Amino acid sequence: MVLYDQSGEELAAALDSLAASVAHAIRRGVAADAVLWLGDCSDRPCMDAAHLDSVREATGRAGIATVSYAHFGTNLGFGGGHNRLAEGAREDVMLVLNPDTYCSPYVVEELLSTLNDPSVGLVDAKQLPLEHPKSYDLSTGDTSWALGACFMMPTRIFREIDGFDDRSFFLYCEDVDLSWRVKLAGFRVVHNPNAKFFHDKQLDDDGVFIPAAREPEESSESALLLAYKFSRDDMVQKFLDHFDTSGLPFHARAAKRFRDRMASGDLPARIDLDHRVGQFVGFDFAEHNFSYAD
Amino acid sequence: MPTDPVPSDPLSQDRLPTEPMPIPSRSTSPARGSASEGSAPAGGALYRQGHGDHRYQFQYQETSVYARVMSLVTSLARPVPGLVLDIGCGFGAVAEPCREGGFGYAGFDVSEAGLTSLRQRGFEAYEADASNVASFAALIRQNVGNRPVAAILLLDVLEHLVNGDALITELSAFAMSAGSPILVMSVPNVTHFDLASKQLMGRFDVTPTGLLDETHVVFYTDRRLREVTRLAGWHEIGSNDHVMYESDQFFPPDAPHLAPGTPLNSFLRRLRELADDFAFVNQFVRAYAPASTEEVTAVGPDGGGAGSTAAAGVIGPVGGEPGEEAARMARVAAGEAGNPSQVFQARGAASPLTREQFNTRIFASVLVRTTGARMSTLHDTLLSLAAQTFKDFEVLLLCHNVRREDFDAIKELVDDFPAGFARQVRVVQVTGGGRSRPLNAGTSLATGRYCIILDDDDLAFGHWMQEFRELEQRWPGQVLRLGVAAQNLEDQPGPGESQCYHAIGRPRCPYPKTFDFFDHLYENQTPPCVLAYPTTLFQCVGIHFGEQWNVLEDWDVLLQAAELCGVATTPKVSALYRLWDAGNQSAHLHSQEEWLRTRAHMQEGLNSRSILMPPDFIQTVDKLSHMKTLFPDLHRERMRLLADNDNLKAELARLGALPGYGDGFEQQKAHLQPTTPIVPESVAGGTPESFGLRTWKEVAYLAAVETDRLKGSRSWTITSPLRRAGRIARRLRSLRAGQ
Repeated sequence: MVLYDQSGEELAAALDSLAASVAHAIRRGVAADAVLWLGDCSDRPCMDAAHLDSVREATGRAGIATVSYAHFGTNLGFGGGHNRLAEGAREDVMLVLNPDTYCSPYVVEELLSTLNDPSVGLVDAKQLPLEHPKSYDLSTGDTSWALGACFMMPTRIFREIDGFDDRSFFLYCEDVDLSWRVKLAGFRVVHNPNAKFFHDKQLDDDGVFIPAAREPEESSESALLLAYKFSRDDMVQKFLDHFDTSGLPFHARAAKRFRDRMASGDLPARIDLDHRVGQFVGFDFAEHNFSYAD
Repeated sequence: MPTDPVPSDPLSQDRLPTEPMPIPSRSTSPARGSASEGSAPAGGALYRQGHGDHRYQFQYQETSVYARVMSLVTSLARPVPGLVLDIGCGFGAVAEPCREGGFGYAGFDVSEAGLTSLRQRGFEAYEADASNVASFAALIRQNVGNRPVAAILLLDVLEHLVNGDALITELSAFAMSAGSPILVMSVPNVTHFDLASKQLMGRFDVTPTGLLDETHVVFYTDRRLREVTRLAGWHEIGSNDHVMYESDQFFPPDAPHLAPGTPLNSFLRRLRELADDFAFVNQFVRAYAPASTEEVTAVGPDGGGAGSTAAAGVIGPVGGEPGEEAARMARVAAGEAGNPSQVFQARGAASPLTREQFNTRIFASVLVRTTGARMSTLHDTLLSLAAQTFKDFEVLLLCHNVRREDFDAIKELVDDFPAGFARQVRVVQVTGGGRSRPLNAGTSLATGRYCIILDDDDLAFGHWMQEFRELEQRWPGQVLRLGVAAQNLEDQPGPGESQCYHAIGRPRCPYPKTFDFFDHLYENQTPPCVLAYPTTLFQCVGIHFGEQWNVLEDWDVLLQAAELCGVATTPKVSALYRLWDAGNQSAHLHSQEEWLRTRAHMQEGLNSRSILMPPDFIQTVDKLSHMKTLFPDLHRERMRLLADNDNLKAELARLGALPGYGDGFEQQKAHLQPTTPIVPESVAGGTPESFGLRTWKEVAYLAAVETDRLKGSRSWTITSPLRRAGRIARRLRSLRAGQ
């Protein structure tokens, strides 16, 4: 779990629910123990020693044997933070979880049950109250990509594919990139609708989704990078055309940053040359059941 | 029978004072009762004449309170023969009926006149001062000896005693040692509508006898009487309250608050009758059995109090502390939270909270109804509650007609959540009744300042409770209303044998952002999940969800609440009201006929009563008047559109005859009805009820959703030539108009 300026209450709720879910999985005999890795990308630490002690005490009762906390002193980004944490991980599977979430008591058990199938390399959970609109196969759960806010995968596969591409992606689309590389490695990416977590997203007064402050610009740039990395020049051009003409400042900034990286040769190496795994549907990376942007 | 003159009016009540009263004549209808019997002292410190005062010389009549007393005695008192001890007996109006019933009789009073009368009529009579509790009990024992005692009567006595609670406590001890005779009491009701409405007008008319007898020193409500008798060691086994629609306080009869049929009387009376069942009870007539000490303090696991039928039990809290459970059970013992179905039926029976308890209540009680049929969505609803940022609330998980195994599964689900949240949840089993039953149970049990209904397929955003709290800080006491989005769901099979669901459209906001009372009079425009009702509306005012209805039950309560409290709103979308695509929404579960019937019934109720209008209602009246003037224009516009539609059909017919358009075109054209636009059949025409929906807004919402889906569907593709033809026809028409 990577932290960034988390409030004590928010973090306590997230860890409380995570601990209950781990405890349930242990009671059910599907997990033996767990280690909690916390990485803090904030300028000032979110947790002091006393706070950490209280977390260790509470999670320890639930069966989380060890709590490791590291203040990185710099913002490594979503992928970078998780890569750093995963360096020390020795456990069979890793759960990636946002700190602004609240876990179902059953999310750990459910995700683990999906990973019992060795063909599955990555499984994500259902987000509430606002379901993610990406589609999935109703019988198999197969989906284009796994939501980074709450997913689980075998640690060995994470290592095998070199984890998140934090050099290319700072925020957004790193989960799509990870998912597609899991597929390139020969594993399935699956959604388990019975594994659930609450993610505190909101709608505005007209019912329109409110993105996080940096989301529009960061996700726009990441979309360009993703299209480039997965060898879809047509999509790169489509995105650029759209960003150049939308009149939206964040689109213009994202396009400029992409072109700057291109000029300086700072773009990712290209993969999926035969377009086996990358899905670009409109401006999305999967078929969507509906759109929050209407 | 006494030799004293009987009342001259045979239709008047049995306890008419012998002296003229400064009050108007009583009702002439025996069915509606008549003036109150005076209640007289049995030896209070302030008034020591006892019932032997001639103004209390009332007679037994079949329509009187005495007949009600005797009904309880003959049906409940044992053994027969056994003594009936009439404490504060006065002239012994029930002496002869007791004898006729096969009982012995002994009267006790401080006044010699009544005792003499009794002795002359052949009854035992003893001088005794009931205010001296210790010696009084000894005197009873001394005079009763070893004879069996069937009943003790305290008729209009308690209110004259400052230490009446001590007296009935002593009598309880006596009863336990004397074969457990029953206690029958009649006590004036100080909350009679006549008194309540007059106090609103600043009147408190003390009279020589009656409800406000000048010698009354303690006033009783139903609630207080229950509390005092319970603490004294009695539990109620029967009641036969004496109802009088016009009490002795019914004066002046033409006062607008008293005169039947005036709007003010209608409004006040409705309020008073909502609050409890005793608005027109003149005297509480109750029978009690002595309870052991254990019975007074202990309550069974079903929470049933005296007379409980245990139709529903209270289980929980899951994971709660033993101390909390004990405290809750103590409240159950106090009658506050017993059998839920009983508690709400006996409105006003709850144990009163102290001022401090009122002020320290938690913010809210969330009422989650479930039938156990949708564990998946129930889980999600609970998850959204556990994730609230403002946590000063409890959850009443109301399991309605749930099978035992499902009930156990629900308790297990709650237990699996973090302990902090599990402690906030009370799992309550409710049986019987319709959809309203669990809501009424929940409002009876609620300990929060507000009651919020979140059904087991709705979801709260993380700031949901926080938004309610912020509204309360600005508008305390009002109904609180938040913004809401609606989203359609669809069932789907999940992994293995599990059942899942998923959203099939984005959230939309079809409901108005502000609350308009007039619009809501026509139709409900607010889902319950974004309304917080002051709990006092249910526990003090007595509003309850109509158990006779399976649909629209929340609409009726919202209207009443909005009328009395006003509504404070924020447009911030804070909850997802979820609509099932097919089959499971209550709208779909009930027939159109039931919706229409219920709606008509509710509107009939609205029409029959006086309603408080909100402060800005004149503006609304102005708008409505203005709209009336627009109707002719609207009618003309409608006729023009109909004519256009006919023209369009004609154009289509011509286009259909052109080369390149085949039979398929003709088939599509056939679907075009004169007044039907090109929209999915499921939403074209009809009324909200015809879709099983509550409001036109929901129809509009569904239309949008359906249209979204249709745009990607085969049928939309098939009809595209038709739409193209429409566009061509419009262009042709505009060209012609341009010529």
